[in-house]
Amino acid sequence: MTIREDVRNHFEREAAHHPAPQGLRAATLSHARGRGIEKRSAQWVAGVVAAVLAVAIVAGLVAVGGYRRAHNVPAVRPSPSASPLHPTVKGPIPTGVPVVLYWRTVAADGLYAASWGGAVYKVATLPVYQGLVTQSPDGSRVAVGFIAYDTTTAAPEPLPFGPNPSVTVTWADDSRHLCQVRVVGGDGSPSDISVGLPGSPEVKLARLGVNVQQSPGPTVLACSYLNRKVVVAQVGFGRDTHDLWVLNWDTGAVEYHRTYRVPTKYGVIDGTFTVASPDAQYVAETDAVTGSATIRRLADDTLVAHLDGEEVHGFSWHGDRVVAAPRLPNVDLVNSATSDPAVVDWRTGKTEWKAPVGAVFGGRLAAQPDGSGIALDLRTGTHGAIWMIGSDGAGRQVDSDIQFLVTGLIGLV
Amino acid sequence: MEGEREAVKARDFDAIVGPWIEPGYRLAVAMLRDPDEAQDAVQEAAVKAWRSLERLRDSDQARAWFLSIVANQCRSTMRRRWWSVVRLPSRDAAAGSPEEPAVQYVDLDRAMRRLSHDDRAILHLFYFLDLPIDEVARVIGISAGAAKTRIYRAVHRLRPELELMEEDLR
Repeated sequence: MTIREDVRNHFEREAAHHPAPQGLRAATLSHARGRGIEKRSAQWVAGVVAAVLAVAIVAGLVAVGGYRRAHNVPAVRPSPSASPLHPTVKGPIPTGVPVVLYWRTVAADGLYAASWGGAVYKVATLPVYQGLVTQSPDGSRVAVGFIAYDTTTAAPEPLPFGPNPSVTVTWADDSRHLCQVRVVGGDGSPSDISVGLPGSPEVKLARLGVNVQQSPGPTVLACSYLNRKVVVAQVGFGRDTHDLWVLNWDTGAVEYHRTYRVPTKYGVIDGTFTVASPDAQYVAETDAVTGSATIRRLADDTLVAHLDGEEVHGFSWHGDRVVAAPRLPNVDLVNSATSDPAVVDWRTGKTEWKAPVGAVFGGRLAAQPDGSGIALDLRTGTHGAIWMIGSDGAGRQVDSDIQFLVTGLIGLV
Repeated sequence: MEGEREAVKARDFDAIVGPWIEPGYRLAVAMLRDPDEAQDAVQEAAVKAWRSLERLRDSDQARAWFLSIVANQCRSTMRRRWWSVVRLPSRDAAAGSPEEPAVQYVDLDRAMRRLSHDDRAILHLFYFLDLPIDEVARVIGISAGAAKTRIYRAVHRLRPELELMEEDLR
């Protein structure tokens, strides 16, 4: 029996045990229509009552001469942004301020932004249900489906390709250009790698790799307009890298190619998990057998550091710091090491920051553009939080009770 | 005018969301493993869908849109249900139904119950509802590549556990 049949049978048995209640559809629709209207009315009434009460309280304080004194005691301000779970939201993202986007809830108005100074802003409401969301490194734009939106104004701009579910985009380090991977055909076919600007035609660089069902296939690890390089990995079923290419941004020429050991059959522990620095200068290779990572400088194909018993999840902007977590040898790569994450400067070997006890890495991180800051999501139990680690190694929680970071690095989570 | 607008919205809502109520309930049962909580989650998701119907620009996306609201509602329910970490399966669920003597299914069902709610959701969407990988990704809120990896990981977690149980029985 195939796994598909196994799983289907399980859910069919579950459906037989717990059949949908009679009249579920009609009752649910009716309930939703009723509650939706009732809630809106209740919210309106509550708003009016709150306004009347506020006016009455202020009038009373003025009348008894207590208004000035009220400033001298801590005031409780019942506003949505003063929730004990979330910091104050400062309004729309100011122009030119780099931010990291994250979801408080996955909904059109659920996107928020944290500046590298720790301020929290509200992202414009966007039609997120039309597709996946990938942020530019500075957070000024997001790609949603085949449209790029300004995160402050929600102004749309078409990406360099039309509606096509077989295209995956990654923003470049200038936050304007994009790298694209387009699956050329069906199962077993390669992908086209191209670059482009929103509103302009794409430029094809290369056709490489292979797409096999359920495997991520050719994946952009770094898209650097500034250094004129695109790093692409052929990723297998279990996060294992088969090939790694560095393409020249202008000519598409393969400047570097490396092949890795791959698991020879299902159940054999082997392979290498790779991530690249956003500037396309370094790649970290975590080996499933040794449970350790090496840092490779791509320009001269030199190993520059070894992190014993660590898995590297990602780099800072220029690749000098990594997010790493302790890993055991001979563990399948499919199980990423997420407990006790830390930020390590691989040049000195110094651990600059460690996550609080009990927190695990949620799987997404972002690098501060042209800086050394790193943002990541940490989970404690079922609660997620966004943390930022500054150049001085000081880490702080910026917001809590979040779903996950948007980042431009999704795909291998 | 207001009444007419509400009537049109109600008609659209029933046509767009109605077909996905039962699949939503099935997804919620798969994630929460509690039919009462699943019903509550679907009802709450439907309220949210009603309130944000205007934001659904393409009715072809309705299935992924509504199922993603259900999945998020289930995650919120799980977050509130702090006691779920020590909660034991109900006697019915643990023992299986007396009408179902198929003992060979018990191990699989037990293994499925040990998966996280997100893993069960992703397997339910891909293998039971037969959603294409892009739509599974949209419902869960991740990229297609990540969805593929997570399906693989979930299956991987399921298979070794089954093998382990077979070894234990020997």
